[in-house]
Amino acid sequence: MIAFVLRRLLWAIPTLFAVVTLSFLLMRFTPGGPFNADQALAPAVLENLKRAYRLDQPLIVQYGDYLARLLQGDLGPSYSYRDFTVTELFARALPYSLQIGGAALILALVLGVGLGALAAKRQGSALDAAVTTLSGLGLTVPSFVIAPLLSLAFAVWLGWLPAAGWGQGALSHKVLPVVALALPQIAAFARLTRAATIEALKADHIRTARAYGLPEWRVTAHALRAAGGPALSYLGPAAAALLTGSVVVETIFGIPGVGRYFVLGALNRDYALVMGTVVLVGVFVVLFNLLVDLAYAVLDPRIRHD
Amino acid sequence: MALGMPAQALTVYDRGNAGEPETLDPHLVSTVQEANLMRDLFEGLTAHDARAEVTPGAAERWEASDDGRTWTFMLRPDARWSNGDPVTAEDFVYSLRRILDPAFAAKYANLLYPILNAEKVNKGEAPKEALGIAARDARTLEIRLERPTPYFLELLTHQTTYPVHRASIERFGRDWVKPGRMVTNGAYRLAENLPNDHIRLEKNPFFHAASEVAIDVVNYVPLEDRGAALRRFQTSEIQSYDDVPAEQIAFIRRTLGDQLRIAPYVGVYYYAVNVRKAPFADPRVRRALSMALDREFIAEKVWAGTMLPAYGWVPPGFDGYAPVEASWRAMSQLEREDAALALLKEAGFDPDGQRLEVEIRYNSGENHQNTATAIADMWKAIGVDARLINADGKTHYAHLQNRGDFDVARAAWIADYRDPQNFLFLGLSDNVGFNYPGWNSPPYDALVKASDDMADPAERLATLRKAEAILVDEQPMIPILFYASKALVSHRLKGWEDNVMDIHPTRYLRLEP
Amino acid sequence: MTDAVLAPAPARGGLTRRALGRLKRDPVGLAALGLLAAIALVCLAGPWFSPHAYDRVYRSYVLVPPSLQPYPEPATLEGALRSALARGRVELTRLTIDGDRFRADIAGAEPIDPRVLRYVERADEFRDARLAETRDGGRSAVIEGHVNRVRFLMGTDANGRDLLARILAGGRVSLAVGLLATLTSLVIGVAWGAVAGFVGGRTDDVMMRIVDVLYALPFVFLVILLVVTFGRNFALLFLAIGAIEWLDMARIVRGETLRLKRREFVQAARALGVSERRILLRHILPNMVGTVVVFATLTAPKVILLESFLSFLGLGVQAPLTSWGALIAQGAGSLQGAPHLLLFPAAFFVATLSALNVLGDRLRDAFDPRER
Repeated sequence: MIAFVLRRLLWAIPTLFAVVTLSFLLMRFTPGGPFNADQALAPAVLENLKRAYRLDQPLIVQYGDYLARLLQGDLGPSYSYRDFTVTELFARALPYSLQIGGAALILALVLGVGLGALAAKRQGSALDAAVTTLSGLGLTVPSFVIAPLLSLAFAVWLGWLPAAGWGQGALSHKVLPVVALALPQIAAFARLTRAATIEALKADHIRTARAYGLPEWRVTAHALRAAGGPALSYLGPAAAALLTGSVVVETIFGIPGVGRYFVLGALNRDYALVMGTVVLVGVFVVLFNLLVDLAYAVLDPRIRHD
Repeated sequence: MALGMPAQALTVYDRGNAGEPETLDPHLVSTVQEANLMRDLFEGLTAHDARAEVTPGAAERWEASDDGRTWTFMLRPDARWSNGDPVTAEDFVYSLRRILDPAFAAKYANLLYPILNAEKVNKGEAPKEALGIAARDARTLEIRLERPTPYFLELLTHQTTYPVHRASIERFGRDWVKPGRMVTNGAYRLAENLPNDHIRLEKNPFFHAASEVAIDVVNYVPLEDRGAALRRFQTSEIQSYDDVPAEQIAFIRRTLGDQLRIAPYVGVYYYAVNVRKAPFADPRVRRALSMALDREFIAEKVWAGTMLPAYGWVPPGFDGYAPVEASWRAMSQLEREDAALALLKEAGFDPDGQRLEVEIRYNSGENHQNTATAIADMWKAIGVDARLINADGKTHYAHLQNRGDFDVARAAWIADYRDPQNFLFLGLSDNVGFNYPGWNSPPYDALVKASDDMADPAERLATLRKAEAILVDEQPMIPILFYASKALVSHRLKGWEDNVMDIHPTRYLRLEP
Repeated sequence: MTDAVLAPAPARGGLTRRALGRLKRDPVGLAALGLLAAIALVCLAGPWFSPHAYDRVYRSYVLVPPSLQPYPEPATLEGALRSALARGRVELTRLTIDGDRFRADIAGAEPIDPRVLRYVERADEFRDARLAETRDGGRSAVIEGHVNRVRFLMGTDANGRDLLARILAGGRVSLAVGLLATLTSLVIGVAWGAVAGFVGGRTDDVMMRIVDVLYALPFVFLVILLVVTFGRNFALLFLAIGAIEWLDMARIVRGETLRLKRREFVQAARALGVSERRILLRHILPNMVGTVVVFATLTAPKVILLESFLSFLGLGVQAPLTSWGALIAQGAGSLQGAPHLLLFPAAFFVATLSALNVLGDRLRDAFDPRER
């Protein structure tokens, strides 16, 4: 097991290197730079800016600079938040995203897997129909619809919760964004779990267990263990996505998290910020997929990491 | 809870701002939303009042030489920084040299080029000491100009001219703008800065008019999503917002009534025509394309009355400058279409034969798309086939600024300072950065350049009008709409005066309970 | 060797045939299939029967709410005619409306130019206008014509275009994207994941690390670069979406493969000397059809919505053509002002994908190799 973890951590080095290099190239060959805006800049001013940010250097030199800085843990200065370095921006914003995303992840896992297993257990019942229908809705209604709708209903019409804003971290400010983030993931986990559990309940060893008169809850527990696979595989990317925030939910609810940096960084051509997000996602993905693969081994001891 | 409250509660104003600032350094900012913040934090030699008229700022009085090239400013004796230091003439010298330093790379440095040697210093061709600014004593400042600049006092309200606190910058470097370190000379000082959440400003007790500032704390809340901003306004989480979702304007009018403020604003929404290539090099083609546009429909229906139809290039609202309008303004829309068809025929196009094909490029966005759609439909009526091409903002503007190929492209210009020259310099042939069409008209260039050296304001404006008439006749840029400022202003917020610069310093506002 | 062990490998072709047979006897599944087919048919054929083209602009009817009643409303007719005539500098003195026909007495300071009819024609409210008679040496006249009655069952958008026609036109785009991009991601994802999981070892490591790398790439740039390099090609849309969306599928399929390849029936097959390729194709893949189908139904809504973001970046459909994703995004922007702009496109979208979800579930059941 330890050897497996070590090997995977070793793999992280070439993975992250490839991510950084490919992203750098992709980004720099894309038209538009950080200084193209609706109010054009005077040529002399543009020259000064390029020199100040060393954008007048050959690309390979800039790439070398970036790598050298990255190795020292410095993600560079942001172009669109000029009073902050990218590291500072992440240090401030990540806790918000982790709080909201973490809560949404737990909610999605507990409710999604729970509802999915329950629906599978009572396949064909009214409960099953309700879970299937609601999860279908949860999946199809996009967050840019559900988020403003929630805010409109619970803040503007009912007046129960604030419309948006972080509000110094008050719980009432977190409810709607967490729900908006969690809804589609609850639906996804519910569907994946339901399908896998139905299959698992029909498996021979479960039938055997039942035939031997094992209590029904233990049968279900066994089945769930066998059925956890798809949900677990999905957990890696889902966790990475939830914990790194969502630009839609963050802008609509005014959460000062990192989610917006992904899309806005790219749209603003904030080179350092984009590279920062790339490194961030890279680390998250490597980490979560490692955790998921470890969890596989726990769920199904037959899978060995050799 | 109530026991712990101070006897007199602070007046806190939550001010929705349509964008997150890039920086709080007044010499690096470039957006309208940043300017709003800067105006509360700093004060230039002159300032804007609630109606955006020029008033004395850090300077209490000034005089200009007869040739209009040398200005002397007397600083007010009670001008102070937020740490109690006096604001001195030397501070202004330091600040102007700082922003024009080429290594500092300020985006808006070129705005200061009217100052003697500013352009040379900014291009690294002259030492910073050559700049035409000198402190004669602690309270007397002399600024020399390249040429008489009638809008100079207006220019001095701009954030590029704001003083910065030398000691803090030398001590903290680029971190001087952080809360606890930032020293400012305006009505407010920085208390907190949490990106994408809020920026909290507190009243500056050392400000010379502090006793007249009614609002103790102003929280700038960045709100890019206009729908979310509207909801926060509806729930009273913010008391003002400097934009509105245009898609929902009818609903806002119906439910919020006079809390919606729409007023003319100095900006023009236009389509640049690529005059470098045929058939767009032919002014008849450009005129025809322009005449076919039903601007009233675009302004009133597509933009729901949040824009005004534009028949000239310079928006109304400049003192002493009568708007120029296209000669065909008086015609009815069908007459214009007939005339446009005739022009196109002269240029060799025919709705039933050789049809004109035009590609409209625009930056992605709901209203830009609706506008392009409406325009394509209007061009159909004169036998022009339009195709729409969109791209994200950076790609779009990079394409224009790098001289990429295009037929017609959407662009806009918002005034930096209140003077027609700030619009007309876009058409100068040597203005490579801004003149997207690549238009080159020697008589136009001559008129605009000549106006630079005219000391008589009336003569100068008359010359600029002549230049504008050439541009409006040739239509290298097809003006479509003039901007209007749009804002949501709570009934509780008093002192918000609509003005063409859309400037509303917090120090003039009051918040009723 | 018991029957149970080899059960997951039915005779060639039998699996699909049997599954379809089972689906035929399933009313819910058939209903879902029927709804999907109906929506597809309406989107494909509807635009030919729609009275409005999806890009037809009605300047008189910007943002009108949905209604069964035809426009123009009788109360607005006089004002509309008056303003149309005013543009030709002519005044309306009397208006009579009789069913679909109108008769207007007009007068002007100058002799009336027959071209004034064009102003009336141009207004969306009227058609077939003609000068019936002239009087007073041409200073007054009578215009006759028809009232142009049009219906907007789902209202119009900010440009005065019929929303229903736009939903149908957008449906063609979105259904094509949903189908093709989901299939692309399915094929790549299943193949990649199955090979990685089945071969294992170094191959698995390399293949899955490639997935990790692609996952972290800033795809906004990928999309813009595609547009710049290859132009605005509709086929690129599927490529771009497929290239992004297969990653999760690959992870899930790999996980399932890892799990299944340790199972008894696989080891039994191997012991019997079944070739590796055959084990993968005939024993492992059929056993994960359920998961794959469910995940594909999770992918479909994502890709349809992703299309609207790609269109924002310049890839995909160009205005005036539209898609459900774009319509829903626009509708969400005017939630309070014009709720119909969100309601109707979202209804089509949700109905389609819900039907797809139900069908996915039923297909999963039908394909279940253990159920006979």
